[in-house]
Amino acid sequence: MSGPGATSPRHPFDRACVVMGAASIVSVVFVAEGLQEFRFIWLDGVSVAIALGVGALACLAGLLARPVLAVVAGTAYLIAAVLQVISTAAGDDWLGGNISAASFWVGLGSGLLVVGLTPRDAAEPSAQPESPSDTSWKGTG
Amino acid sequence: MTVSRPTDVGTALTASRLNGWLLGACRVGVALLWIDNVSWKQPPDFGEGDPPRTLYRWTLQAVEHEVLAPYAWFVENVVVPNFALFGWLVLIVEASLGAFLLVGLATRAWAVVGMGQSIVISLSTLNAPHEWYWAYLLMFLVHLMLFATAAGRYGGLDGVLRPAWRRSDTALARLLERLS
Repeated sequence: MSGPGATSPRHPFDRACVVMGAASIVSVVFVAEGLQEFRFIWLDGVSVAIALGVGALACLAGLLARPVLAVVAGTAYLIAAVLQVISTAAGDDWLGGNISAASFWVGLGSGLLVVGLTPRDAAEPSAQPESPSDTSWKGTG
Repeated sequence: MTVSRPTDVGTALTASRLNGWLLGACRVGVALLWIDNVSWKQPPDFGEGDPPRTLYRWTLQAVEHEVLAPYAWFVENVVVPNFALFGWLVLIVEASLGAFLLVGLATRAWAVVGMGQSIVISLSTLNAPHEWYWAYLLMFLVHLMLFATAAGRYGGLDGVLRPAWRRSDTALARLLERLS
């Protein structure tokens, strides 16, 4: 596992944090109106700052191997998603995104929370994905 | 034509890294479609009014262009009179489908939800004017594929977290392993 101060995440949980944070930062591409029907998410104003800021925090959580930062970033995304729904329902969209942005943030927030809260000593990196037919688990008959 | 045994299927899926990335890309693509589709489920009225708009208008198609009589009755007598409640339910289900398929968390469970929601949408709009039945069949089948391949194990959190869930003795970990 990477220790504090590391810059290349070695643990799968840390890599997952970096990927989710990077996805959030990359999502800013959806501000481009030229994407037209491929503009899956609408971001503008404050919502862009959320995508960039919390995305950077999630990346830091992975790069520094700090699960607590993943939990903070995950919580921030979920709060932002709830605020976005309220903003849309209120009709003035003061957060600048849309319901799609809220859905996107729920995914990232849930993922970061689960990764941040799962005990690391119980995790072991898997070299290859398992077969879909593998549904067994330890301790059951 | 031969049918592979499960172990052979697993070998085929993991034999190539490219196969895994393609499955992951397919899962993320389906997630983005749901994320895009949830954008017009706008609270608090979800299009209810005169004239009907967005979700409310499409819900009424189940009655105006009936696909299955019992479902049309249910929509007319239960859904429409309580439309705000069902609007929020649709919003939560579809936003969650996009969210959890995107990160590949509990993917098999959400693939089943996706199949269910595809059926519900089909029963509402299949006979509406200018609708293409292939679209609804494809919606169902793509979720069936995500379920069959356990697509969250490829570039998704299911693949990252399953070793930890397997080692844990908690009921939640066992449940998540089953749902992934």
